[in-house]
Amino acid sequence: MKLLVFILNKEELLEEVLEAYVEAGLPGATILDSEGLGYFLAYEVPLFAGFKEFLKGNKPYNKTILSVVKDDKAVERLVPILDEITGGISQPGTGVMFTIPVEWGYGFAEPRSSDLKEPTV
Amino acid sequence: MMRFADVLEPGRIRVGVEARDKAGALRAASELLSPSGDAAGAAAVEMAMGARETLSSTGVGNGVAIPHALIDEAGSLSMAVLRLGSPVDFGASDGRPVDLVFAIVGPRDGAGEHLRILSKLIRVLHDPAFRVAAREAADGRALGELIMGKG
Repeated sequence: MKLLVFILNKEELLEEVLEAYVEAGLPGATILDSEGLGYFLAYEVPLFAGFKEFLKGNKPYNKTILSVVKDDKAVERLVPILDEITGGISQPGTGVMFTIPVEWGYGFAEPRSSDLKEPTV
Repeated sequence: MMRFADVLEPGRIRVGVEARDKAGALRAASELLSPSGDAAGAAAVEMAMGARETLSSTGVGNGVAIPHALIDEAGSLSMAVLRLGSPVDFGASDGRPVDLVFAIVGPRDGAGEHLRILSKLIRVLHDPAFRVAAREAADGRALGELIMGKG
C-alpha cells in the first residue's frame, strides 16, 4: 500500500487530473489547497520581497492530491494519462508526484472489484 | 551550510555608529560593503538598498533591520553589521526604531546564496537572547565573535 502524492502547479487542470485518477482506477483522493515555499516567502514575508523576480514562472498556489494506492499498476496507468493532460509532468512549473510506503491504514472503504481492474475503453 | 565567517569580515563590524536616520544607516552600511572599496561602489550599494526599501521595509522588528541588495558590481556575497549609537526609525512593522543593522550585498547571479544567508540570519535574530547579547557586546570584536559563534 502506498500514498501517492501529486503536487499540481497547474491548478486549471485539476478537473482533468481527477478524471484521470478515476480512469486509472483510483476513485478516492483528498485534495488540499497548497502553496509553494518560494512564492510564499516572496509575497507574504516582507523581508524576501526583493526576490520576486527570481521566482518567475512559479504559481501562487497549487493543489496537493493525496491518494492511497493498493494497486501499483494503477499508478503505472495514471502517469501516462497525466503526461498527456499536462503536456508532461516533468515540464517546469507543472508539478511533481511521488509515492511513499504506507505501513498501516484504517478506515478505508473496501474498493469495488471494478476499481482494481484494468479500465476498459 | 553557509557560515557567517564566509561572508562577514571583522572589518565590516562596527558598534556605536552614528546615523541620524534610516538613510544615514544605509549609507554607513554601504560604505562598509562597497565592492570596489571606493565611494562609487558605496553609492551603487546605497542606491540598490534604497530601491529595495521601497518594496517594503527590511526592518524585521525588535529593533533589527536586514537591508540587502543584489548588484552587478558585487563580486561575492558580503555582510556588514552595524550597531547604531542611537536607534533610528526604519519603518519596521512593529514600529520600533532600529539599532541593529545586518546589511548584505551580493551579485545578481547569486540569489540562492543570498537567500540562504538571509534565512540563516533571520533565524538567529529570532532568538531574544542573541539580540540582547548583540546589544551588550563590548565592542565590534565581541559582536563578531557572537555572530561567528552561530556557525
